[in-house]
Amino acid sequence: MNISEYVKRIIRGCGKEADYIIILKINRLDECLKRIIGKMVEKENLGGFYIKGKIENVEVNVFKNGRLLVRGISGEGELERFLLKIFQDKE
Amino acid sequence: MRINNTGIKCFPFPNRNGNKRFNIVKMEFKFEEKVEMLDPMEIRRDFPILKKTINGHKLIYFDNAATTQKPLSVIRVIAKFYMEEYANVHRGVHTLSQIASERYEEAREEVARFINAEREEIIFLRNASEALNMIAYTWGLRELKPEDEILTTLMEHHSNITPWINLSEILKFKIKYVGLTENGTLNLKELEEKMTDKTRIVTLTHMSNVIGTINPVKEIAKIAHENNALIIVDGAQSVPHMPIDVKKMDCDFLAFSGHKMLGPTGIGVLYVKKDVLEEMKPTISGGGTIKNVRWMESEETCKIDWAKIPERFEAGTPNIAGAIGLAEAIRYLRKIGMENVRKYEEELLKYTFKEMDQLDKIKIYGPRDPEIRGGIVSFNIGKLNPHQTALILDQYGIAVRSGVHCAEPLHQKIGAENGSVRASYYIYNTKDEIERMIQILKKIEEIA
Repeated sequence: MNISEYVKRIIRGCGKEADYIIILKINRLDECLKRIIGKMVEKENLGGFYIKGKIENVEVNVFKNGRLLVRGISGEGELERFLLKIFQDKE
Repeated sequence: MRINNTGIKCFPFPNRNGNKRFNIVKMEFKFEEKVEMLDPMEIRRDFPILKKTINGHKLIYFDNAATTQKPLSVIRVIAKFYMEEYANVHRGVHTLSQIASERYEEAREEVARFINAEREEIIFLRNASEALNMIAYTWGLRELKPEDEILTTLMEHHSNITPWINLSEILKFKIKYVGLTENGTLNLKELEEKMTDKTRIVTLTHMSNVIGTINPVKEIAKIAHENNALIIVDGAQSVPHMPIDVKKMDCDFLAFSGHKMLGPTGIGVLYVKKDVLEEMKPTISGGGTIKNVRWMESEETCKIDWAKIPERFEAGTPNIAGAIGLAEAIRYLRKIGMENVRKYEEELLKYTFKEMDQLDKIKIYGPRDPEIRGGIVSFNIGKLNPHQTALILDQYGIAVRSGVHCAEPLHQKIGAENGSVRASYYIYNTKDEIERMIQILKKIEEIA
């Protein structure tokens, strides 16, 4: 499996902290969101704007239009492994 | 008949000296004394993209400091050029090449008029970044010595920092940085203190792409010239938004991009004062940059005879359609009048400050006086990361930029190391759009 099945694009947000914005593929959006939200702990719905939570201690922000903001990942390799694990693991 | 930059139709009749431009300029000046506010609703009709919906909401485009949308006239002129007039320029003897060459050179003249330069002083490049790099690797590479110093500022875009750092690693000259005052203006006292007889160049932005500060470049040019230094102005944010006169400003170099002023991407401008440019040799050379390259049998070498300026600096086939598109964008802006553009954006800025001041958790960066600030508002809300705020706004069709906007040292200085949210305006933005953004920011504040 490759993350490109689910991920359209990854943008590294500039700034001191390592933030990644992940654009999910529209045709897999519902499946993706269900998987991600299902794995999140300490979930918070922030004003209906987005859902914030943690997956394996990594902060994940889920926006309903198919954007993820993943914070605290040290590099693209680690991000790819993180995403792969989310999409591969059975619920 | 033509339409001057105030929108008044006039006949360019010659004066006693036969100088047509003199009369037009005079008429523009008279009109500019009583500037009228532009009508954004009328302007919006020229921008088809503004009718678009994004994520189910009407697009509100506030990312103009990154790039601007294109009016129909620009889109059409580019299409027309490719459909009816396209050929390569300059040395082609056939008719179509002559038509394309005329259109390309007319574009250069249009750009020159826009900033009150001479046509020979206008070099077409890809964008402001390329123009700034070209100054470093053309003028800087030949002129700077290890004992020299250059002055820049802490409010620069990376494009005006990195080429100089790169070059200083090779040539070993020193780079000095001028800081900011508490209210986000350039520290002129520090600039004067750091200027020495070793300073060869002062290179700075005219308008910060983050905090909108408009630097007093005329005053700084005077200081630089009194110290026998040259001045480079990064006009990427200022040229699209305010009247620019290179002669009044007295800058030696000015760089700007076409796509930030309604023109197409891939076309930018480098203005260089004629006497400086005449002495320069190109870094990128080849086709078009030389008069001839002659084999000297006795010396067993080739001798280059450089082309005249500005062709000397435009190697290879240029972005012909881009230049023509940029010229059309300039005609569009001239019809509105750059004084009107500036005044309108000041109004939008005042309105933004008034409305944002009602928010408790917002931190706005940069000067609060709209007279010394362009239509750029960078901010953060509470503890929210700038990308979180931008992604929320995107869900409502509001396009803003988040991050450090290629100005990381400036973000460190203003205490926003993880970046900021930037809303930047142009002629088609309205107070209603700002109001819409503020309404959402008020809701965001509840979770910030």
